[in-house]
Amino acid sequence: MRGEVMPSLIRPGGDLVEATNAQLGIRLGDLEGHAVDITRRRIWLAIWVFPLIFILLGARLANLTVGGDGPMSATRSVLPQTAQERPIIVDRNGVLLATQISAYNLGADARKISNVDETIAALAEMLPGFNREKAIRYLNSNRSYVELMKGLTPQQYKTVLTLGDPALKMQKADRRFYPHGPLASHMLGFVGSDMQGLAGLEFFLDRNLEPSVHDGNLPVTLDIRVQHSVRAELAKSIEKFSATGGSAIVMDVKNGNILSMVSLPDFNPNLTPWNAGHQRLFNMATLGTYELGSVFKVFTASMVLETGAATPRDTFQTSLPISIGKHEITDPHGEKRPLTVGEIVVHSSNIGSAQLALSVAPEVHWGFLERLGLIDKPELEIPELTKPQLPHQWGEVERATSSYGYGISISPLQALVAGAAMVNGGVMYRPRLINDDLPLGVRVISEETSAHMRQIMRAVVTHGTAKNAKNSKFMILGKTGTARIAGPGGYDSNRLMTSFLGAFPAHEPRYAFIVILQEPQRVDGVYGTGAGWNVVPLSTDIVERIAPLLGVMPQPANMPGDEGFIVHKAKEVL
Amino acid sequence: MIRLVNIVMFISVIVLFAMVYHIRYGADAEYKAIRNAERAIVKEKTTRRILEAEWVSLNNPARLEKLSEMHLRLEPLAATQIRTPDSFIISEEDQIVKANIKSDNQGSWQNGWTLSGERGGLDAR
Repeated sequence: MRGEVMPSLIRPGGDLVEATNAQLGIRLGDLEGHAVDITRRRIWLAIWVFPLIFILLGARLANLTVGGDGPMSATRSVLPQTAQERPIIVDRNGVLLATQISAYNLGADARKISNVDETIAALAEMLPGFNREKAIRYLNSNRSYVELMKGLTPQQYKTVLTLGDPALKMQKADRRFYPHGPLASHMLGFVGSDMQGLAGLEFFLDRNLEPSVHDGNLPVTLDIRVQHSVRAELAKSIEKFSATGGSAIVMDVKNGNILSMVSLPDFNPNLTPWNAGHQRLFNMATLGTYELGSVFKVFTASMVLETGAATPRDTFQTSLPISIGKHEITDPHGEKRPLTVGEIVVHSSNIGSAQLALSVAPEVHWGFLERLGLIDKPELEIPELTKPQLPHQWGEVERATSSYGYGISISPLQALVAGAAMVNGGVMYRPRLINDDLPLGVRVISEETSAHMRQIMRAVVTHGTAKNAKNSKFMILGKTGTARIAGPGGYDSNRLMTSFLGAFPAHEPRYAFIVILQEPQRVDGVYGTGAGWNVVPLSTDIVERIAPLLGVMPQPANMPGDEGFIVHKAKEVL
Repeated sequence: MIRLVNIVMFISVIVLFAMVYHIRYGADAEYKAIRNAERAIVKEKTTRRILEAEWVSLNNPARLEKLSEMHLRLEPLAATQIRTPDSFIISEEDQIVKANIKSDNQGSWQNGWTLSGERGGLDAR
C-alpha cells in the first residue's frame, strides 16, 4: 500500500469520508519505516548524482579551457566564403586576362532628387561612360529606385559620395573585369550579372572542378602578345579587303596548346556582351563550319601516301576534266599535264585530288578523315563547338568533291589540329586552352608521310599558290584554300571563303596556324580575290610579327633555306 | 565527507568557470584582432587586384601600340632586324684573329690532355 493515495470510505447515504489508519489496519511503526527508506534513497541519490553532475561540468569546462578546436577556436576563418569567387585567369606568361574586382552599382530614389539636371551634370562629369539620356528618363520617372550605372570603381564610389546627395544609393556588387577588353573575348567568354559563366572559358569553369587553379589563378595557354599581333593583322586585312569576317588560330604543334584564337568581329566582355548581337558573339574559329576548299587536298595527299595507294613519284593525268555521273570536275587554272601527288597539292588540282581520293576504298577514305578528327565534334575547353557538316551519303561524287574541300564543312579549329599532325611528325594533339597535364596525342600518319607533307607544303609556298609567303625569312609552309560560299541558288563565285593552313619554320615546324577571311573583295593593287592574294599575305604578316615573340629565328641570309625540300615532278623535281 | 567533496567540487567548478570566462574573454579579443587583420588583408587584396587590373589595362598591347605610333613612331620588329652572331660579317683581320684563337685553344687543349697525359694550362676550362 506504500506510495498509494490514502483510501476513502463511503458512509451509508453516499458521504465520502477519509479512512483512519486504524480503520485501515495500518500501524505507526510501518509509517516510520517507510519514511526512513525514502530518506535513505534521497541520500544515496545526493551521494552519486550530484558528484556525477559536478564531474560532467568540470570535464566540459576543462575541455573548453585546454581542449582543441572549440566553437571559439581562433584558427577558423572569420570571413564568410563567397560562393561567387571565380579564379583569376592569366596567360601563359602570367599576364592578367580576367579578374574579379569590387565594384558598385549606382542607383537613386527618383522621388527624392532635388535637382535632376544638376545631379546628372555632376555625375556625367565624374563618371566616364555615364548615360545621360537614360539618367534623364529614369530620374524623371518618380520611381523609388532606378539603376543609373553599374560597375563603379572604388575611386568613383568615393567621388560620388562627395556629392552628399542622400537620394543617390550605391550597392556593392563584385564584377568580372577583362583588362584587355575584346582582345581574347571569344576564348575567355563572359559571365552574367549573377557571375555565372555564360560563354567561353568562363562557362567551362562553372562546370569543371577547377583542377588547374593554383592559388586562385588559372593559367591558360594563350599568349596575349601573340593574340594581339594576330588580331591586329586580321583586323587590318578585314578592313583592307572589306571582308565580312575572319578568324585565325595559332597552335603549338608539339602539344596542342592554343596560343591565339581570334574571331572577328568580336565583342567587349566588359560591356554587357549579351547585347553585342549574334554576329559578334559567333566564334568563327570553333563554332563556324565551312567548306575550306583546297586546304583539304593536304589531307587527301597524306591519305594516299600513308595508305600506300600512291607513292610520291606516281603520276596522275590532269589534262582533261573527269566526269562522275552528272558531275564534272575541272581545274580552273590547270597545268594540263600529268602531275605527281605533290604537284597535285602544289598546283591545287581538283582533277588530280579527286583521282587520289578515288584510288582508295570508300571505308579507308572515311576512316582516314575520322582518324584526323574531321568527322566528330572537336574537343576544347569552351562550349562553342560544333559537329562538322558531312555528306549524307559517301558515294564517288561525295568522295571526289570532299577531296578538294567541297561537300564537307569543318571548323577552322579541326582543320588546324589535323594540319598540325601533317607537319609535326604525324602525331595529332588534342587542342587545349588549359595546360594542366601531359598533352594527349595520337599518331595519325607516319614520320615518313609527315616529312613528305612538309616538303609538299613548302613547295606550295615556293612554287605554288602561296608564293606571296615565299620571301618570309621564317620559312612558312602551308596550303591555300579558296572556296565559293553556298547560297540558296548554289555556289556563288562572288562570295568566297579564303583560307591558309600553314606552319613555321618549315625545317622543323613548331607552330601551326590557320587564317580565314570571309567574303574578301577585290581591291586596287591586288590582282585577284583568291587565297593567295589576301589570306597568304595576311598569314605572312602574322608570322613575321609573332615568330620573334615565340623565339623563332629567321633563316640567316647566307643560307639558301630550301635545300632538302624536294617535291617530285613528273620526270624531274621542282 | 560528502559535504566536503561537494564543497571541493563546487569550488572547483567556480574556479573553472572563472578560468573559462577569462580565456574566452581573451579569445574574443584575439578573434576580433584576427577579424580586423583579415578584413585589412581582404581590403589590401581588393586594392591590389584593382591596381593590377588597371596596370594591365594600361599595358594593353593595343594601347601601347597606339601610343608608340603616336609618340615614338616605332613599328613591329621586322625579320631583317633579327641577326644571329654567326650571321655578322667580320673583317679579314678579325677572321684571322678568330682562327688563331680557335687553333691555339685546340692545341692547348690537345697538349694538355693527349700529349703530356697531365692536365695542362687549360685545366680550368
